[in-house]
Amino acid sequence: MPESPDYEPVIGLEIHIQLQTETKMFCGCKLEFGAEPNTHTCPVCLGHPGALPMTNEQAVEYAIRVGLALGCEIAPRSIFHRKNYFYPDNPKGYQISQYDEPLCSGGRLGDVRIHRVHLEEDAAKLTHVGESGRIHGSDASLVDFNRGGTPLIEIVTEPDIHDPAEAREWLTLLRETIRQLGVSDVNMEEGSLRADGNVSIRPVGSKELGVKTELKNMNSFRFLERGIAAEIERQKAIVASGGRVEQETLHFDPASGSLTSLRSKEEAHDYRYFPEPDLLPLAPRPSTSRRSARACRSSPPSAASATRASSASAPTPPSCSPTTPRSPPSTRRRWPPSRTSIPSSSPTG
Amino acid sequence: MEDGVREVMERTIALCESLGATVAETSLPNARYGISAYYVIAPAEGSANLARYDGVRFGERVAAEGLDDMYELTRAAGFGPEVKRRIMLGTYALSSGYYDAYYGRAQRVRTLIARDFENAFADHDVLITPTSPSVAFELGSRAADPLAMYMSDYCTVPMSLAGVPAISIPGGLAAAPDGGPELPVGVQLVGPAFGETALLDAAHALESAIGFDTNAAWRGGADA
Repeated sequence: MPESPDYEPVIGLEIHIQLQTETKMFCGCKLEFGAEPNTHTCPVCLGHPGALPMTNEQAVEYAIRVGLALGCEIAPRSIFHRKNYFYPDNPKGYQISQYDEPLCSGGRLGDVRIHRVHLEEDAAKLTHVGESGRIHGSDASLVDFNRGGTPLIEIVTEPDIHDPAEAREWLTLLRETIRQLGVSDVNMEEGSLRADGNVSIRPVGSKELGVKTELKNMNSFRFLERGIAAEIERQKAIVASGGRVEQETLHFDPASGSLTSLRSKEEAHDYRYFPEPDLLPLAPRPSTSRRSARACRSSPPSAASATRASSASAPTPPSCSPTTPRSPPSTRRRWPPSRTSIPSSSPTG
Repeated sequence: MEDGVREVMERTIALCESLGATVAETSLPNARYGISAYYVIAPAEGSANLARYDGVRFGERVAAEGLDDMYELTRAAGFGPEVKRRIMLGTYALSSGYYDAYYGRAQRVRTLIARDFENAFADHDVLITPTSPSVAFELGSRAADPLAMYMSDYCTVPMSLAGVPAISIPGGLAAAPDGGPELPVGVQLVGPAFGETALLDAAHALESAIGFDTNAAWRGGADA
């Protein structure tokens, strides 16, 4: 039998960060970690009939600050989408997020390229009452809507990470960068920083990507490294025995080191994304973008210089200025399309 | 357009001219696709808007063993047949592989309809149309035929899609094609986006001139 080739891991990260704004992403409820359950809620974040969202400008400013620090292109116009699914922590039955027109795209931090950064709202917090604290075998589940509606940015990297230790180190670099921007306390224990890993393997030297799995529930930097390492071993074992890696979402249990399938590709949700009809497109005001750029520049020099040395490229410090010029006012689309009776200053202009 | 509707419209347009309006015909070439576009877009958005009725936080809840059963039983009990019909249509129109053909396309048609109104309002201040293609029909007489019901919206749905203000006022009474008592006919006035003030002024003037006696109509009296 021919010797099987060596396989190398290919890793990407999806990171969710809670923004430390005064109020929630789409309503005026205050954010307070550790508050008595269901004391910071309103018809909007409870998904009551007739309630409508309103975009939090501070969240947009913070998100642009992050995008600039990561060297992203800031879209002059982006839109919100509805991500539709049923779950008790999702009161409207859809999460307001961004899909194919995100706020930020491109960018780089250290050796890892950024694919995109977008804004969305957090789900409520579920607590499962039972021995393990997990949903299986629990007697009941409780929902705390205080967290529901918290502004989140989701950062998706390119699959540029090569091993579990690098994943941990890079995430540490990202955390420090975000912390110094003053937009989040990025605390994994408190849930203001959450990271999922996308893991695949391929023969060394190949340029193609293998089937990737998504790893969830790695709620510390150590567990992130261990979870990714365990998944790499699992995939290598499958391939070595002649099998194929299946696309699926896995839950890592740090105590046992085991990986359990949460859902397979066939059970994957069809989120039926469509543009959020209750919100205007996000076209940040020049004053908002300027505030973000100023805040980005005035934050302490990031730990970008602490990035691990790479023979391929020198680390790129955050640029704090957009990589493309903002569109001039005359080309920004206005709504409604009618050219009669439009007030001279539109809400987005 | 039923004959009864046409008669009321012609009388009303003549009345507008006597009040000093300059009346001309204009065309909204894509408005004919309004029903098709609307009955993709509205159920699609409705299928998402109605997802919050899940028995978790408010309203009716049908108890069940598991979460999915609770969702299904609660929503089956809580929604009537027309709502269920629209949720199913809407979910389908948004589902993977169908979005571009249905929701995506319908939204592009919507833009064309909106532009038709923009063009019309470049040359005119107010548009006047029937509110419905038919004289009022008896309650329940079209309940068994959802498509016939939807077609009643033919004259009003383009305005909803375009986001322009519109108002319906009683124009008079007329008999339906199959005979029977004379029943109301609505007249619709339409204005440009954010042009509610002028539109309401025009509607008020026309309503006063028509002098439709709602109470007399209820009692089965002669029309104004």
